[in-house]
Amino acid sequence: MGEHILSWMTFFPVIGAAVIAFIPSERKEIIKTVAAAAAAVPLILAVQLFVNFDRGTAAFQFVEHYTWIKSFNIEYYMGIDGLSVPMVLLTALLSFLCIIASWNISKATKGYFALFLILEAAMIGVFCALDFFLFYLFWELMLLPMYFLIGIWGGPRREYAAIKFFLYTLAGSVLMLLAMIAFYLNVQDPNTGGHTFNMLFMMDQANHSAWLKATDIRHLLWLGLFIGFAIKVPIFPFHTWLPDAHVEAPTAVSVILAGVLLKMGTYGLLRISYPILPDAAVWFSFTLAIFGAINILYGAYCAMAQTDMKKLVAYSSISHMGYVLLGMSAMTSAGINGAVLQMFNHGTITAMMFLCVGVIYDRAHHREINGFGGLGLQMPLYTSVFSFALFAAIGLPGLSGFVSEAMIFIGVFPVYRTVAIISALGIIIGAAYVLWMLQRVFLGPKNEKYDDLPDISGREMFTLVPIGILVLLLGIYPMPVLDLMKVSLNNLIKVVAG
Amino acid sequence: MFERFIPVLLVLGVAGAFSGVFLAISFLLGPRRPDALKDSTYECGIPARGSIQIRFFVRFFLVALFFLLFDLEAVFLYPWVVLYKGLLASGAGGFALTEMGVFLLVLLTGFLYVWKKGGLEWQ
Amino acid sequence: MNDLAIPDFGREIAALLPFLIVAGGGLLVMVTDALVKTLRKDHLSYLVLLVLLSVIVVQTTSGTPEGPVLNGLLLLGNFSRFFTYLFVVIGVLTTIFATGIFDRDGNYRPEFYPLLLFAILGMMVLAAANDLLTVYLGLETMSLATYVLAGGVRGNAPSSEAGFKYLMLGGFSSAFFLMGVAFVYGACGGTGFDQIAAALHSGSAPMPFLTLGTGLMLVGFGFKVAMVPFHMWTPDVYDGAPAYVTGFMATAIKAAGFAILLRFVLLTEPMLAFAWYPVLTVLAVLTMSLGNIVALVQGNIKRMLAWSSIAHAGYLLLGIVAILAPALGGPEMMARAKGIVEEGGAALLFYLVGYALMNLAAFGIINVMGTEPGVDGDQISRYAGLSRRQPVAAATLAVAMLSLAGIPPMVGFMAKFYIFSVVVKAGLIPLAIIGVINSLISVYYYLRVIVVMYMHDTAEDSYQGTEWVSVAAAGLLAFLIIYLGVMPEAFHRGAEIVFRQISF
Repeated sequence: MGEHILSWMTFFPVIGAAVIAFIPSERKEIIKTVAAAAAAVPLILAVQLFVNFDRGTAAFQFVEHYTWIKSFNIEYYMGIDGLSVPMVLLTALLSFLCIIASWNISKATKGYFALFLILEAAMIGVFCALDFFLFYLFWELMLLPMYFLIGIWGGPRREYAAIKFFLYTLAGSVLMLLAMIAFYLNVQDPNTGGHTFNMLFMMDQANHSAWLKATDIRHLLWLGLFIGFAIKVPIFPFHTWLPDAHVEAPTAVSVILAGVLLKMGTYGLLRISYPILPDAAVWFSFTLAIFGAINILYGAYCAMAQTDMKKLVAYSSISHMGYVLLGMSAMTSAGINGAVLQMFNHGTITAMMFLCVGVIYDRAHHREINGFGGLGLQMPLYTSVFSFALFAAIGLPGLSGFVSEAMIFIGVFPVYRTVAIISALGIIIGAAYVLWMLQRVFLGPKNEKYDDLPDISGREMFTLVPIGILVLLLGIYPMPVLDLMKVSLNNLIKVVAG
Repeated sequence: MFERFIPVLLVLGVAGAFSGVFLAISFLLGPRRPDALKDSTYECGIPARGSIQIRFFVRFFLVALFFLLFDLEAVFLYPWVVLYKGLLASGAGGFALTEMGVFLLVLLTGFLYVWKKGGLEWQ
Repeated sequence: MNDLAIPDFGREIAALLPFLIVAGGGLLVMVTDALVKTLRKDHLSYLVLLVLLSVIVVQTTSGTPEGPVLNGLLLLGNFSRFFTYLFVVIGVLTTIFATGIFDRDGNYRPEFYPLLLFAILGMMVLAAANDLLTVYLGLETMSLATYVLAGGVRGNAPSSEAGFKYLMLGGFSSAFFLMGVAFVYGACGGTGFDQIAAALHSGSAPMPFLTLGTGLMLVGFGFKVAMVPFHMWTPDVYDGAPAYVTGFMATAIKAAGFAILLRFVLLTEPMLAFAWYPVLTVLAVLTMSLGNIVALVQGNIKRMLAWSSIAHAGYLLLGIVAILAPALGGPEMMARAKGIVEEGGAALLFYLVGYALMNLAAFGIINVMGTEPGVDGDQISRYAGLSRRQPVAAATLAVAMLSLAGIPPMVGFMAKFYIFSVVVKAGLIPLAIIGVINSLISVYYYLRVIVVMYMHDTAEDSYQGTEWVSVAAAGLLAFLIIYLGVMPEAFHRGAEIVFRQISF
């Protein structure tokens, strides 16, 4: 497995899904065990990746490079650098925990776990692909299982949410497809002189054709890619699918949606838009900062108005992704490192929050903030875990969210001072909605209706504790993750900002 | 190129003009005294009865179709017969004979099918 | 009469063997049906399968001679061979699907089998045609057989309507086509493709006649491939005909139509590019847009697929437009778009194969599920909860729908990708954008089928039928759809090789 570690990580879940397809659907325990095992393998490999990753170089590592579709010079080209490695780790960890968290799925268990494993494969594939076509393929492949997971196992309005999610994302990726074909036809493979989908060749400006060197064209292509990625993030006017999808999706799917899928948007910007069209990225950076600020404030503001816990967390995700955009727009070392760290941290924190919402939903079968009260007395352990997650989300010093947000503001402040100051208001609003919710759900008089709610179970704790430890550790000492990405990201800044 | 088509156009024009002129003359000069009998359908002097949309027994169609089919196919034999001597002289006699044999075989197959499927029975 | 060259018999027969097998097989099936009284329902289907498989065997094993045969009436080679394979495979699947439900519905029509073979014969002739008269011959052989096939369910009004409508409008389009042939003959002094090409290159042929003639012929082809505005028959005929016939029509006739359209376009490229390019461009856009938009509101899955097949004709026409485009741009455009004819042609061939796979998979399942063809059946709502009752059938239909929508990793995505990249390469970026937007619109209605199958609960009137051979065949197609979507390389290479031979 050492040789093809990325391929194993990507395709082992697919093998698991194939095995599950042959297990009779009544044997639910076996199905779940196989699914957990199939998701555990990428996690173990991720640990191996974490240990063996060379932190001293910006080059791509664990590279696998094979010809795939020769007539279009499409290659099976996988590799990771400091930008993708945290994402791969996050995906492997969250996928495994989500499979554990889905243990009590009883409707069509077989299909659920098979689709979940395919989803995991596609997500890891997106973060590893270095061939644009391969990237696109994984990107689209991820849509299908997600669509079914929301549409079949979701809440009452699941159909609407699933179709909306699918059409929004597909609309974005179609723009990406056109940009991709434009790149393909206008980037020359320096070795053969033919067209290429190789992202590394695309990043080398010397390979660009005269057409592709025109400023207008570059801005247009950047815009196309940006809209594609913005829908995924989601950036303000394109965000409306997210609350619907989150509210309807089952808990584990929400976790993956917020924890991993949203990061693909910002990952795509950093992996593709920034290095391939650096000048356009610089030209758009202020706009990006404005979008970031709007996301932060708008997301936080909407979160404040929500009475559904899951919707609140969903809007808080929009707000937190705004920080990532803001950090990216600065093009400074602190800003971009902070942004990627925020991607990782938000993945863990939001996963905790969604898992916690899932815990209460499993018990009370609703998520109305105003329908609870005084849960702190009834479920003390649960209350402390959820509060921990919420405090991490506010950015309490000592927890990981603080580190990345601080880095982002340090990075942005010297570049876009006003935007940074306005965005900082988002932290205050963030604290407001989180604390207000905390107060309404856990404090105050006890609601007798919930006198017999059992406290959080061992299995649920098993899904929450590892993430909690990670949040705490990275809050105190973020270097393990920062070390991973520092060299690659600083190299990226050199490429983009000169 | 186009000059070659001028005679055709001429013929078309003359034909159109002639028919137009005669229609116009009869329209202008002819006396018109319409009555019910004149407006009725003319059928060899016999008073017209019933609707013209009579439903024929479907067998008539079948027989007519079969006749048309086989009769038309037989027409193909004529040019072949006329040319056969020439073909024989040029050494293509065997070829032409085989071709016609195949043609007739196909025709016969169709005939056999119609026969066995009961297409020729009146009941 | 002396210019009738006496052909080399051995070579001619060897070259025509696949055609002779299909024709002879058709007659044999007819006669067997008439003479042998003890036939069980499925016996004829075995005979048909035997005929079709022997075509494949003969074509694969014997090195059939290439080049013109029958005094240049037919041109045999990789191109015609490729399409023969395609038609024969479609024929095999159609036979399986049809036989599967003949048992159930009690509307067993033995005429189906010979007619199917004759239709395939017509298509094979069409794909090999090298003379406008052979084109007409193939077109009519194919059409006459399919008119009857479409109206093949006796005593069923929608099916009869389908057959009759198809016959009337098909006759109309044939007349247009013949008129076009007459004009082209008048202009070029011959109906052979070689003569036409020679006349075009020498520039001796008068342009107005040629323009009119090619235009009229395009009407005829447009009718067969369901190009707007000659598409009106499609929804009614697709809906009324039994599903196995619809599947055959949607795949084989479309492939045959595009095969001859492709040859015709390449033959008359300079001429067509200047006179009809703008028209074709507009029609391609209209075809896909109208097809997709109207498909959005269909509640009947066969009608929905009919409109979707119109839309797919639009995507294919985009490929044709891309092939023509460089001719307009002058020498430097020709140089830049070098190889676009080969790439465009290969993309079209790939698309046709992919489209055949996904449509046959879809109609294979629809065929099994439907109760009585045309009788208020085929409502999408009746597929509710299919995923729980018949997971394999539902998954197959889902794969077919996703592939039609162009979602990776299905073959439909690769096919669209090939077409759109050729369109972009030809410099027609706005057209590519329109195409991509269209394929986005189409996702909605394809997904609706999946929504109903997977996300709705079984209703009272949901389909219950099953027929495992058909489902297995369709399942195999679904597998191929994914396989070709992930590993398109070998096939695409093959399509390029096939194509190189006919690009003049």
